[in-house]
Amino acid sequence: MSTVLRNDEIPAPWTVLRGDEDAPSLHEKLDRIAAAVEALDARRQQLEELITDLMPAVNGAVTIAIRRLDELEKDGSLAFARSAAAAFGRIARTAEPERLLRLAEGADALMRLVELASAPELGALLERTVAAVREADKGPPPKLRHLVRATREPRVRRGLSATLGILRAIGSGTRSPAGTALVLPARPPAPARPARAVRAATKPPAASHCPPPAARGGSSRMLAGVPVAFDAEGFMLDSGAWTREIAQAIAAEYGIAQLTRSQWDVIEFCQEDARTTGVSPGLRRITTSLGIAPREMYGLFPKGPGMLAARIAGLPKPKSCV
Amino acid sequence: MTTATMSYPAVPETALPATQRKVAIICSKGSLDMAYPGLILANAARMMGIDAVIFFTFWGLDIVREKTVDNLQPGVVGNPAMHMPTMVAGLPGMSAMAAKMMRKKIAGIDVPTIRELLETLDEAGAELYACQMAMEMMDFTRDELVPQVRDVITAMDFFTKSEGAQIIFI
Repeated sequence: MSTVLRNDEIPAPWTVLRGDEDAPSLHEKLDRIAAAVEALDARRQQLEELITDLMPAVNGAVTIAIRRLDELEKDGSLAFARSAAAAFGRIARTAEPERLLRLAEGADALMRLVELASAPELGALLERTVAAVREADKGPPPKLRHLVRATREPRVRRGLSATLGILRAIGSGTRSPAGTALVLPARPPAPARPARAVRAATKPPAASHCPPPAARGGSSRMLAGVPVAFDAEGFMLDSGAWTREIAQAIAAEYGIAQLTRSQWDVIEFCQEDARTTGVSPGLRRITTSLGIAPREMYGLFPKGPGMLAARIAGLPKPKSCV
Repeated sequence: MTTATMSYPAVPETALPATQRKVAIICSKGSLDMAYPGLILANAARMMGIDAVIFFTFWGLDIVREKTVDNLQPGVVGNPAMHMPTMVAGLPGMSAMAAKMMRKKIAGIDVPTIRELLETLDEAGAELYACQMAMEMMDFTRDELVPQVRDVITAMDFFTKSEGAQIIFI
């Protein structure tokens, strides 16, 4: 092993052997090849030596690494790392991509914040603050005049100034919508409150126009040879059962011995109007529709034309106030 | 107070009442919103065959004065039901505007005007009276009142006329 050739000094075989060469040059080339083989062997030996030398060190490193990992496993660090990884995985899975991107964009600012927070001056400030808070907690709360007097102290004034600065920063942060202020994602729209719908559903259905009057307190009596049911106020319960004979019988009970043409006109109008509108007409509707004076109605149906016409017509009590 | 405890025979179901029921209503306010209740109640009573007496006194006289009966104004100031700040309600024209709106609404649901109601009441047999003392106080004369007012009477006359009646003060 006279010389050890460098990698770039070992010639490639195809640069060495060519078919059209003569014997002396061939010899020379064979010599060079032998030298190259020697050099390669020398390198192999070097590597072997190196590996032999390194093995204990590598073994030691691996052993140390394994031991370290074992320690981490034992003190829970790895468990923490694993759970943290799982948490990050969950975040990545659940968060929308744009939020993750925003987080990544903010990472730079976050790192700056962390740097700031870890500055020694800040630590000292925090320590002083905590100490001051503990001190303030001891005695009774200071009187207002003591507080006012305390503002003479330069340190207090500086503190107040700093507090004002903080307040200003917070104030300006909430003012600017972009950049410095934290932009919260818009709240998802709250589900429509079902209260209204429920109320609408539980609302009793609109009263049918001619509701059967409550049977409570009603009575039934024979009129014109048939039993007729009345409610407590003397209105027929079943308008369908009405006949002209029944009408005459009801009228007789209220002092009208024989219904006249004019009275029949009113009764017929009431029935027709109730059929079309669904409600018993009030007195004003009767008078204005038929073009008769209220005075006349009081003559035709004395003692309460507002109710008597409907009673005789076999209709429910009018709901109108006029 | 006594009216609440007074008992009246229940209206018989089928026949005419044995004793005639009666209401006496005192109208003491002259705003549109205070005029309707008394007149509507009296009219409803008459429609049911209940006798009705209406006694107009103090500002209530405006309801039966020719000069004011057709343009009664709703009380907008100090009326919490108007849902209007007093400062706004006190602005000029606010009362007239409210009156216009109210009249439009009233006409829309076929409620008669005050004058029509007075006529209807008279035809229905309701008795309308004006307070003599209030008339004297305000220098009103009998000629200034609508023809539906039957008489100008004293407070004692009112009690004579409302004997046995349920009394409502508005």
